[in-house]
Amino acid sequence: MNFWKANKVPFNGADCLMLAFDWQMKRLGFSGNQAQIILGLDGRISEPDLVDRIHALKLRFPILGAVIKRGILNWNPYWKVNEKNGAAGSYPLVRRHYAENDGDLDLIKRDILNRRLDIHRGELFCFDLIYRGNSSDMSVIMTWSHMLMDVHGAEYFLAMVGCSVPIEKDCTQAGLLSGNYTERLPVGSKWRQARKSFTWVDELGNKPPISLYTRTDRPLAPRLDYRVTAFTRSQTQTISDLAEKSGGFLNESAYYIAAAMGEFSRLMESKGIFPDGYVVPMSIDLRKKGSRLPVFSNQAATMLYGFTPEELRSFGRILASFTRQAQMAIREDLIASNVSAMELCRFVPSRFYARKIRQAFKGEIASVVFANPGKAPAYLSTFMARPVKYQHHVPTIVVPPGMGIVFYSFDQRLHITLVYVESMITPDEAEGFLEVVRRHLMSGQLI
Amino acid sequence: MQTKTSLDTIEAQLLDFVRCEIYDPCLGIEADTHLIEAGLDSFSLLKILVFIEKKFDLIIPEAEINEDRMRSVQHISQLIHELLESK
Repeated sequence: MNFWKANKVPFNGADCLMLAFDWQMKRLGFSGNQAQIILGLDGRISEPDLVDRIHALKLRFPILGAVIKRGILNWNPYWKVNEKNGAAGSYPLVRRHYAENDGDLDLIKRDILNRRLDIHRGELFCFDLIYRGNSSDMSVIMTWSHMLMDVHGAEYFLAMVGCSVPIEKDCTQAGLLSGNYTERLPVGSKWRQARKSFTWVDELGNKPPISLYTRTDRPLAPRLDYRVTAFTRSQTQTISDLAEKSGGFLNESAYYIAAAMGEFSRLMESKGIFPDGYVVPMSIDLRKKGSRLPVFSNQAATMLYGFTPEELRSFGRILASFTRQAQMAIREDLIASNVSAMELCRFVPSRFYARKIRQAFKGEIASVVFANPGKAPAYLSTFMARPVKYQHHVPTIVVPPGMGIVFYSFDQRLHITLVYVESMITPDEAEGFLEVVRRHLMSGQLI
Repeated sequence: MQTKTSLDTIEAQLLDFVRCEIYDPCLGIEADTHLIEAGLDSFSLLKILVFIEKKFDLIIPEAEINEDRMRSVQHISQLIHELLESK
């Protein structure tokens, strides 16, 4: 029996987790659980055409203007969709900015990252267009609420906006939703499965990680900053070869984690912080391979990897530990357990779930967040008929830890984005961190 | 006496698993489809390896886990068959 009315779209477990993190971040004064994709275009697009395109999509997919509500009896969050007013209302905003120089550009981008979306009034995404001097180039930034889409869904949606992928006539909102969620509490095997996930969290909590955020001895402004670094195609190939040689076939994530975590533990120790353990949450795309659907929901599980400080002393030890834990996760079905745990969290108010996770880590969510959107397909090689010169992913990192790193590939070039709480580390430290991670990746060892 | 599993049976079982559990049905994965080009990632590969371990009671040696051997369902089935024969 379908309990859901046409204008009521349920959250899945991963959406609920994103809502919990949104609550957590807003409580600390941050903009919320949002993320960005930045496109650098060769040429300028027509603003009226972009606005028309967005409104046409909003009419077709009214969830783009939905607001979050909760069930009266079970407190389940859901999207309330107003079909009639699909394209009405003042959202999404398409704002225009002008930058005179690089410094201006950085400031504008940082302000956009820290602007809070008004999700209670249906602002689930927005566009910022940045023009620069007399240049004919421009940047397009899409910021979206993480409760609506994950990075893969957002990439696909942006490609729909930019007409980079065809929208079939029969492509309906229902076809882009995950669907089939009931309002009933999961029972039996789901509980047992979920327990495995919580047991693993507790096990990691025995060697609790510590974040820079909670150990900083001065008040930090609730703002995020980021740095991006990119490799050339030949450097990317070198890294890919080294990753396969030392990490094994298709095991690039382990190689990236080794480079990032090796340096992260050094950074912590240089600041006099010596945790008993480090935990890296890594998101795993649950979509079937070869598909980017569904679009309007989070389709990710989180796999937590734990490392002792000793394991982070060399590439070899990190890779061995990662591979052992990844195999264990598959054998123990920890990914399905994580999905079950998230399903249960649909029935728990956001703040309780966020608190439970934090308690499990004795005050910390994790030491660093890691994501790997993988080899992005060439959906966004053009945007509204303009060639895309670069594509950057800028996720909002949950605080704490307040520091996260994303590896992704665009135009066969590896990119890394480091996001952190502004002034938790200095811009020079952030640049230095990325520079050393680069060297680790290029040499295949911690140098 | 233990009966050996035929190459055709291995291929059919593996293809069924890959089609149902790993790839989007719209892709229409066939035995000779290049799995890596179709989007295989590390977790999917691990899933396949664990499936092989459970279904055929066989652990693929690390040296055999490479692009040549894991190219398609056909290639992996051939590998499983060889390893089972030499058991």
